[in-house]
Amino acid sequence: MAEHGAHITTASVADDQPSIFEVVAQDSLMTAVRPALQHVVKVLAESNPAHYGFFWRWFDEIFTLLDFLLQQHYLSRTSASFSEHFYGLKRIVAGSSPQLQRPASAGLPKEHLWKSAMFLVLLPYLKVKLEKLASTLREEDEYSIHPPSSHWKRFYRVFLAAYPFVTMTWEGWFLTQQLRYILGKAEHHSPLLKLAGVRLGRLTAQDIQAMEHRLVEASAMQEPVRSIGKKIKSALKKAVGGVALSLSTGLSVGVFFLQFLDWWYSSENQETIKSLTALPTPPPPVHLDYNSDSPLLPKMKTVCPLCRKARVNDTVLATSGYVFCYRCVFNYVRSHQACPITGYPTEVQHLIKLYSPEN
Amino acid sequence: MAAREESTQSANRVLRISQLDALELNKALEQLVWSQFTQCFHGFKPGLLARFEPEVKAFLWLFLWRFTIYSKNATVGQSVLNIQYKNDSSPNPVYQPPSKNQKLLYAVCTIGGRWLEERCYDLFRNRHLASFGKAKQCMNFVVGLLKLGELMNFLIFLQKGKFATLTERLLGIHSVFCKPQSMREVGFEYMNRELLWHGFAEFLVFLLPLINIQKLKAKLSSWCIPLTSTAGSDSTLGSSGKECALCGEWPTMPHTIGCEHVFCYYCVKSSFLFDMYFTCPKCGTEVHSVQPLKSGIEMSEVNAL
Repeated sequence: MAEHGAHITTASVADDQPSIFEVVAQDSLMTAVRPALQHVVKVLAESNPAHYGFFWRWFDEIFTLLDFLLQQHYLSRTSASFSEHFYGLKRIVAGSSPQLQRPASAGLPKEHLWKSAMFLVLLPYLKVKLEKLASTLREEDEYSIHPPSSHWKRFYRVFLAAYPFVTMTWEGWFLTQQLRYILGKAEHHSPLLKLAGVRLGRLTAQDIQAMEHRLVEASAMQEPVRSIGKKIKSALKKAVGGVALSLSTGLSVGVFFLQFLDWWYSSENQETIKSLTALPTPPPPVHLDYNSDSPLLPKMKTVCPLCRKARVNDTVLATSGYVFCYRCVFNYVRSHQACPITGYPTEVQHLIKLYSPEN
Repeated sequence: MAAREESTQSANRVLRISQLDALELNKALEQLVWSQFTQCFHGFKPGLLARFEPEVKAFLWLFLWRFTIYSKNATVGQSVLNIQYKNDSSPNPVYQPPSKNQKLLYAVCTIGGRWLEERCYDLFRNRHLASFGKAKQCMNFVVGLLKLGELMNFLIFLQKGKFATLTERLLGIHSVFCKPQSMREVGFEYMNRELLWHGFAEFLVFLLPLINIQKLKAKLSSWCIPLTSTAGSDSTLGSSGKECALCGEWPTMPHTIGCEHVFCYYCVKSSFLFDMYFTCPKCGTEVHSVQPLKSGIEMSEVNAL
């Protein structure tokens, strides 16, 4: 929803401060990447648990590491995170005058870069972990799975009771800051930017030209001869830079596909997609009643066809639909591997217990 | 002097598209604020806000109105686009902000009107049944009249370029630029990609109901027949009729459609209901009727395969 507003406001205003739509759109872009990748990993893990199960179990940690590399690369090259650069924004050190502002291609100062990276990568990771812990405890509480010790139990209860209010306070803090930004009373749309000591601004024409010039310059650069230690260090730096660069390039190209996944598996579309791909539910079979004249079947429906007495522990065969006593049909299927009525091949796992309303 | 007034008059002229963009931005902002507000109550019981949603929304919009129209003479969308409201009743070409009465009436018409629209049926439901019917009819008439007025106002707006909404026309306020316009250089590469994606998503929503997905699946599976048929003839499960031709599992309530293959009842019945021209994915036989495997003679035939 904010993307449309971001597009309208992009070319309309010559102000340095971005509109609320642009900042929220870039926030939501990075938010969409995680569930999309999570679903990809889940599909891979389900298809081949031996190979890809590791990625599913440690998805949060691996995603955080790759995210850190990506954001560190962008913060040091373009003074913005990946999604901020996507929307033509940059981070400006708070308190710096317009004359002393560094060009975006020079990157952020060291201190602000690490602070920004921490708030961009580490904080979402902790938040996701906390959310998973809360949902796990809530499930345990609902299913009456009690922890071993009463001391821990009390702590869990307190945590579960307090968590919604902590979440509300946190989100309320962000909402308040965002409202202040909308009304022009604050420089930051998010408290995290304030804590990192930066604010968002739009890229200027000089920034764009400087970045293009730097790209041209980097491709033509040649490496001078150095000592072995420095060579190893520069090789390591190049490798890390290469990983980050390939990540950023892959993400830029793949963001289209990721958005498709996010859209396909979002909760809003689940009903639409499900109704499209699901088959209609067939009526229950009625033709089994035609078989009532078979000599193998008793006339009364409450009688077991095998022992000819009132049924005990009603059990149905999935391969035929006929109901027997559990003991009778279990012994028969185990010895004959077939349905007593139809003779169709059957195994013990096809026994299904029926629960009647009276029991 | 006349030339200066003339240039001032022309400089304050606001594009129609900018006014419509401002309305669009206002709607987007309301959605944004509401979704962020509901995010605050994410940890609580679902449906907590549903009972008082119109009141909470009205309060939020009133809060925004207080800090935008009342104190800055412009909505959020307008301030982003460098637009503000001007009092149209004064003949003076110099900028005149809307009066306090106009601002209050703006709040009553927009926020109060929307709240009333969401709550009108709840309010009138408490009355007697007969009067409720009459009141509902009267309400529908008024709503229709308002929509007709909005349509006519929009047509006049396209002709003259003033008063984008009926509320603005009734209150006598129209949009002007705050300061002269200037161009900004920006890279549209990523923006265009984003818009392209949204257009593509809408096209997908339009296209998906037109595609017969099950038939596509059946065709794809029939293309894989040469591989599975050679494998199927070797496997014990396939030869003894213990494999559903559609889902590949041990058949639940096995049925046939007139060929030698076995299906689950659910698989074959639902496929037949979905597609009247459903054919066997293994051998392409058309469905005559869905019959159960029920006699020993058929079982011996199946076992002989």
